[in-house]
Amino acid sequence: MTLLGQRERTQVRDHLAKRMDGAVTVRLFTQLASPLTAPTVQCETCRDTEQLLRELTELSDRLRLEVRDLVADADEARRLGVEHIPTIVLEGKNAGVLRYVGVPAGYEFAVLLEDLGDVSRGSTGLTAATRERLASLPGPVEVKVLVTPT
Amino acid sequence: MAVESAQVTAEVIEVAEFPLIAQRYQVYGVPKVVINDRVSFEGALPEPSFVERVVEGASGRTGP
Repeated sequence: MTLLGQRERTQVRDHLAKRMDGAVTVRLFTQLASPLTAPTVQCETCRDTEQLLRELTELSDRLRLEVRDLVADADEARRLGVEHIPTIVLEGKNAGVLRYVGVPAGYEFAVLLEDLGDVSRGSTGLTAATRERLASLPGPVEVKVLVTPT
Repeated sequence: MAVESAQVTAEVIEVAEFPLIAQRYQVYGVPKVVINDRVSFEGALPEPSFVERVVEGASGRTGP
C-alpha cells in the first residue's frame, strides 16, 4: 500500500520537475532493525517516514535517499545536530543545516517540497534586506519551528 | 534562511509526535518559533519582523 495517491504522485512529480535544479540528498535518521540490538523504545513513525521518503525520492532523478541509524551512525547524527527519530536532513546547495523532526505529513510535506526546490537551487525568495541582515548575524542561530499535523 | 546562511540551522518539529518537546517549549499555539532557545513567538510574522527576532536570538539581546 502506498502512502502517496496517484494524483499526489503526479502533482509532486510535476512540482519537482519545475522546481528542482541541482541534486539533493534526503538523509533520514531512523531506527534500523538489527539482529544485535533490541531497542527498548519502538519508533512508531519511522517506518511511515521511510516509506513516504522512498515514494517521494522516486519522483525525481535529482533526489537521493540515504537512510541512517541514530545509534550506529551516532557521530554523523551528532555532527548534523540530530537528536530524535525520525529526523530528515536535506543536503544540496544550502549553506546552513535544515532538519525535519517527525513524519512530514500534511502542511509539513508542502514545506518539505518547497525546501527541496530551494535547497536544490541554493536560493530562496528572501528579500535583499533580509540577506543583508543574515550576512551580519553576530553568531550561529538555531531556529526551531514547532508545528502540529494539519 | 538556513538555505542561504551558514550561520542558520533550521529545524521543523512536528510536536504531536513529541509531547516532551511541546512541553519543554510550552507550545500552546502553532506555529511557535524558538530561536537559540532564547527568543520565541507564536503565529506568523512578516519577513522583516521574523528576521529581527532571529538577529535578537543570535546576539542575546532582547528588544526594548
